Parts: sequence; C-alpha cells; structure tokens
Amino acid sequence: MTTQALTTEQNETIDGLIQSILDECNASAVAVCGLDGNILAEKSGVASVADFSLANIVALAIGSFSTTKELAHLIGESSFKSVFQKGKKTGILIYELNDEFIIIMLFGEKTTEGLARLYLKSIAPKIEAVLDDAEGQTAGTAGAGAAFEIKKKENA
Amino acid sequence: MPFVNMGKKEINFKIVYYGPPMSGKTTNLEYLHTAIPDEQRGDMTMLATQQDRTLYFDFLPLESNAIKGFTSRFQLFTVPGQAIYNQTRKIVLTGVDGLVFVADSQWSVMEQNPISFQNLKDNLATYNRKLEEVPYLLQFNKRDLPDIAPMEYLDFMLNQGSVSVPSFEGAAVEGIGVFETLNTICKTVMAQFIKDNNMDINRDVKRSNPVVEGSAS
Ligand SMILES: Nc1nc2c(ncn2[C@@H]2O[C@H](COP(=O)(O)OP(=O)(O)OP(=O)(O)O)[C@@H](O)[C@H]2O)c(=O)[nH]1
Ligand SMILES: [Mg+2]
Repeated sequence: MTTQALTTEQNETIDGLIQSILDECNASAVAVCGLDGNILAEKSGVASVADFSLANIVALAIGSFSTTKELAHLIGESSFKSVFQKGKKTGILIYELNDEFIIIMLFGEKTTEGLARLYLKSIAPKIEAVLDDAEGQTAGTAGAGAAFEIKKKENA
Repeated sequence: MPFVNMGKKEINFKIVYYGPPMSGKTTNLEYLHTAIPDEQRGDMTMLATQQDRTLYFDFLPLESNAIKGFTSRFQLFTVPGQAIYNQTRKIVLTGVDGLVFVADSQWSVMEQNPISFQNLKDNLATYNRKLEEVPYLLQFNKRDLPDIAPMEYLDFMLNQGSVSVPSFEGAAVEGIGVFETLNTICKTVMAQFIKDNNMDINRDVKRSNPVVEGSAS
C-alpha cells in the first residue's frame, strides 16, 4: 500500500532533508514523489522553476523512471537505482528510494555528479524512514480529524 | 490514491482519461487547457507521435480550493488508446483515484469501446484493483458526428456494472460535455475521499460549486 498522508512533523522532516540536498548538492530543485505521480515534498532554489512547471517535470520524470524500471525488469535487473541525464548546462538525477518513491533533483553547472550521488545515497535512508513511518497513514490518523469540509455553494 | 500533506495543507488527486484509440481523450485535456484560466492550471505536457497520437500520456495539472483550508490538486492524465501501448497505459494507471472512460459514439468503431473497457479492467486487475472500487464515469464522445449510436445503446453496452455510473454526451472538439465530465469526476473523487475518511458530507459535495470553470462561463 502506498502512503496516503504525511503529518505536519513528517512534512517538516522531509522538507529539512530536501533542503539539505539543495544546499549540499547545489541543486536547483528537488522533489520527493511517488511513482503514482504524487509530489510529497518539493523545493526549488531558482524562481524560474514555478510550482506548475515542476508538476510537469515530475510527471515526465516519473514516466521516464517507470519506463526505465520496466526495461530493467525485462533485462533481468530488479531496477536501476538511479538515472542521470545531463545536457550542456543543466541535468536531472532521479534516485530510487524504496519501491514506490523517488527523489528528483534538477541541477546546474555548480553540481558535481559524483558528490550529488553520494549525498543522495547518504540521505535516502532518512527519507525512507519517514516514508516507512507514514505507510498506511490516512488523513484521519495524520491529524486531519474532521477537518475536511467541502465549500458550500456561494450565492453569485 | 489521494495524497494529503497536512504540513502543506495540500491534497493530490490523480484522474486518468481512458478509452479506445482516437476517442477524444487528448481533445478533452486540450479543451480544458485552453478554457481554464492560467491561475488554476499549469502547462500541458503531451508525449505524442508525429501523427499526434498519444505515445505515452498527456498531463495537465489543475488547482482548486474546493476543500476548505486545503489546496486540492488534480493531476489529469490521458493514456494512449492504441493497443500496442498497453505497457505505458498500465504505468499511467498507477495509483489512479478517478477514471473518465471516453467512448467513441461512432458505429464504425463501436467494437473498440468494449475492448478498451475490458482492457481497463484487466490492467486494474494487475494492481489488484477492481473498476467498481474506483470512482469512474463515462463520456460518450463525438456526438456531433453522423452515424452514431444512441446514448441508450452505449449505456446498455458500457454501463452494466453493479452500480450504474453517470454518463455524459460529449463533443470534445467543441468543448461540449468537457467541463461537466471533469467536474463530476472531481466531485466523485472528493466524495470518495471524504467517505474513506469517515465523513458523511456527500450531499454537500453534490451541491457545491463546480471544482473548475472555464474563463468564459
Ligand atoms: N467530430 C469530432 N471529432 C473529435 C471529437 N473529439 C475528438 N475528435 C477528433 O478525433 C481525433 C482523435 O482525437 P484525440 O483527442 O487525439 O484522441 P485520443 O483518444 O487522445 O487518441 P489516442 O491518443 O490515439 O488514443 C482528432 O482528430 C480529434 O480532433 C468530437 O467530439 N467530435
Ligand atoms: Mg491521445
């Protein structure tokens, strides 16, 4: 079963961890997402990566990673732990967390690939720990209680 | 499944447009992309062949404030209808929260509808899911064309589940039925979400404002 909810504390922990990825790797944006397309957490260092375009990047990255994963299965690998693509100036690194989640990192010229990979490897278990903790959590158990209320029809 | 971030006060829903080849899935999203104001939607991503056939998926993110105190994000996806792309269809279905089945009303391609419908059930089964357990509805598209089957016929063919689901007439190229379809699936998905969280306010969902509206309306 995939995670359904993150509590405020879990959100803060993951936010802190991805902020450290931004800082340590000189990344331009980092997101933690489920292979179903949900963005669990995201941060960007550059203003140009607006919320919505990040959503598009994430959808494509997930598609690309899922495809790669299927390819791995076909040739007898369980998965490829990370996928790295670099152009002239910018690049993208996708790092698998556990079976259902990935870290997506966008970077520019200031990032060193090897160091970034090492750092992700060191930080991944900490993010995985939060996700394991959150597994099976519903909105209710994550502290929403009876908080969900659909907005009533407003008189126009 | 829906994902809630209590820290960010965000709820994410994933909606997939499914259906036979060329039924108008991409056209639905294209219309929404042009009709919804910029603030409520993001860019549309299309992974298509040179002939404009969907190769992997189309993607359009929407935002709404339909649930009090939260930002509700609806991620709309289409799948490729062509038979050969089943692997990618399956990938796109991962964790789906709501489905729109876009059927082609034309007699000439009628047999494609039940084939695709069965394919949807089969693909869900690979995730141990049943169609009846996923909120979904039907859109009978291309109503503007001649030689189309009556709505009753299409309902008889595709709406035979244990519960009958809403079906909409569509002429997606003209935008007809596109918003009705979207708003109904969004509300159904939200109602399911609220029900799963033990809150019985389905009535309020039905009476609530449209989740998204075109800039013209
Ligand atoms: N007349 C008419 N044509 C339509 C309608 N909806 C879509 N079309 C046309 O049908 C063709 C296929 O539409 P698409 O939206 O690309 O179909 P699709 O379901 O995404 O197709 P695949 O991605 O290949 O599965 C296009 O030429 C559309 O313009 C409609 O309501 N009426
Ligand atoms: Mg298409």
